[in-house]
Amino acid sequence: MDENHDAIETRCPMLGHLVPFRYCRRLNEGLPCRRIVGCWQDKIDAAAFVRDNYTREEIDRFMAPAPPKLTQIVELIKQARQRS
Amino acid sequence: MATKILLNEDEIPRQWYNLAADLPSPMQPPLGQDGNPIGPDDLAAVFPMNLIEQEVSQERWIDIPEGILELLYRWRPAPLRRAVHLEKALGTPARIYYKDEGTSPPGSHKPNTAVAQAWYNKEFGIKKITTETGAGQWGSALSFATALLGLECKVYMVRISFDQKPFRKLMMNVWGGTCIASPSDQTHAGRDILARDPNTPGSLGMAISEAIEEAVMDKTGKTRYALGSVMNHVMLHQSIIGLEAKKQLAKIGENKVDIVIGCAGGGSNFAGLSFPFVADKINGVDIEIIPVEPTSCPTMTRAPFAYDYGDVAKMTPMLPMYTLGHEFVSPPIHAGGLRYHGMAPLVSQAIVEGLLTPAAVDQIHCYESALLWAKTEGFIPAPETTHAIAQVITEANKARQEGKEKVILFNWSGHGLMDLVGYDNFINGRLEDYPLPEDELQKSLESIKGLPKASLSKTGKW
Repeated sequence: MDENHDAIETRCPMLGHLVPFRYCRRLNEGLPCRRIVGCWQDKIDAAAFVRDNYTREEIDRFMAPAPPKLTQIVELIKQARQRS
Repeated sequence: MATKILLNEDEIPRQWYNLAADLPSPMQPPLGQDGNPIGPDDLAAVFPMNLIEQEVSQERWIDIPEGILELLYRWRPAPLRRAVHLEKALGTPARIYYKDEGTSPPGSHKPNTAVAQAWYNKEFGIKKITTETGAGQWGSALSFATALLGLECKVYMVRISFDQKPFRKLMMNVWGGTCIASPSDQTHAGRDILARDPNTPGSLGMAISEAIEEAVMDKTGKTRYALGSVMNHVMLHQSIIGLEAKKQLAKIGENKVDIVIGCAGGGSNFAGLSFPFVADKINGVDIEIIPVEPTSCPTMTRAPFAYDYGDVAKMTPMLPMYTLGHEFVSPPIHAGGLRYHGMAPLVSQAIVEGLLTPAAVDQIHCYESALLWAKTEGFIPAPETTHAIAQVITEANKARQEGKEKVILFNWSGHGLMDLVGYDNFINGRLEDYPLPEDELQKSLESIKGLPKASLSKTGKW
């Protein structure tokens, strides 16, 4: 894993504050945020970083955009009940 | 010339307005994976039934309970202000009014629904409300609301935000809310995540999972979850903004508004101001109503109306919405609340009908406009609010060119005092525009080819 950019910071528009690159590349249970390419394109070659460090399957998984809140909720209710 | 138009407490609106009752063409329901609509029972584990009833209500007017009014009186009725100094700077004949939602204790429009939701939860017998938050705007609004009602509030705050952004967390604590870093050891979801990655900095997805689980798993049935955007009942509670504005304009003899403007992300602050004016438009009044979005995420201005999945994996229900396709990956902009690939269904249907005229502005123009605003009117707007201000300036300049005395109204949804980093980036030349290129848009839209076509049912009147 390329860790050269880990200390560089940019503003996370979802959280509303600065975050280091190491956060963006591993926040999704070890996989990057789906917005990593867009959010970092003006600072580093994020597309190349993704291409060089993840498989096609991993990229498809973490690039999925968040569903609408309503639909997330229905899914999370199901998941919580399954865990119980 | 009045620059602050105030209402007395006994002049506050006593009913919320529900646009769903008046839309000439009905909203289409969210669809589940099986193609059937999602119903109230699907949500009963996390929302009290009185709020679910509001969510599906077709009643035009819904009484605001006296108990909620008493809570709202702490900062409402909110001032309507006239931006005379901006008018002068622009040399426009337009009269620019704005509803100042930055006067609430947490500093934005969000408490309008937070106090209502907390009140309905208490009426339903709920003792504790859970939610998730990033930097803490919604978490602090809900903590404020629950403090007023003596309810317990538990906010799962993304760990990296919890560690880096102490001030909103402290606001929650001051109001008696419990703010937990997520993932935590207090839920199955959190423990599972921590077992796999003990040093994870968390994410909003993890925090939502924990907040929902805590509500669902409470065996006493006394815990529910609250959400600050997107849903119909949230927009209903926000309609007090536009209803107050109408009374305030009438008070000073402004009987005709020409243009209503609001920034639109999940849609609640735009809907709150505009929906009462959409009702006027439905009834024949000539008003231009403009939801504003970033050019980098042109959901309303360049995307088609279609059924779309919420996720790439196609595991979630399909919703009818203005969409850029579920494979759309939003580029970086500072207005976090405006970054979403699909617009709220109620707003989408009003666009289909032609009742709204969406516009898009770029972020450089937004910050230029925000600085002009701050240097004339004095207040520093939140990043989302800058989009509305940019459009207001465009319309005011157009009025000058046309020589017309237009009345422009917009929603000043909150102050930006907790979010100054975007200003720092702009002032120091670190921002750049990113209008979505046509080829990227077309590539994104490939993902919704073959899905059911959403009905573009409309009357054709607008």
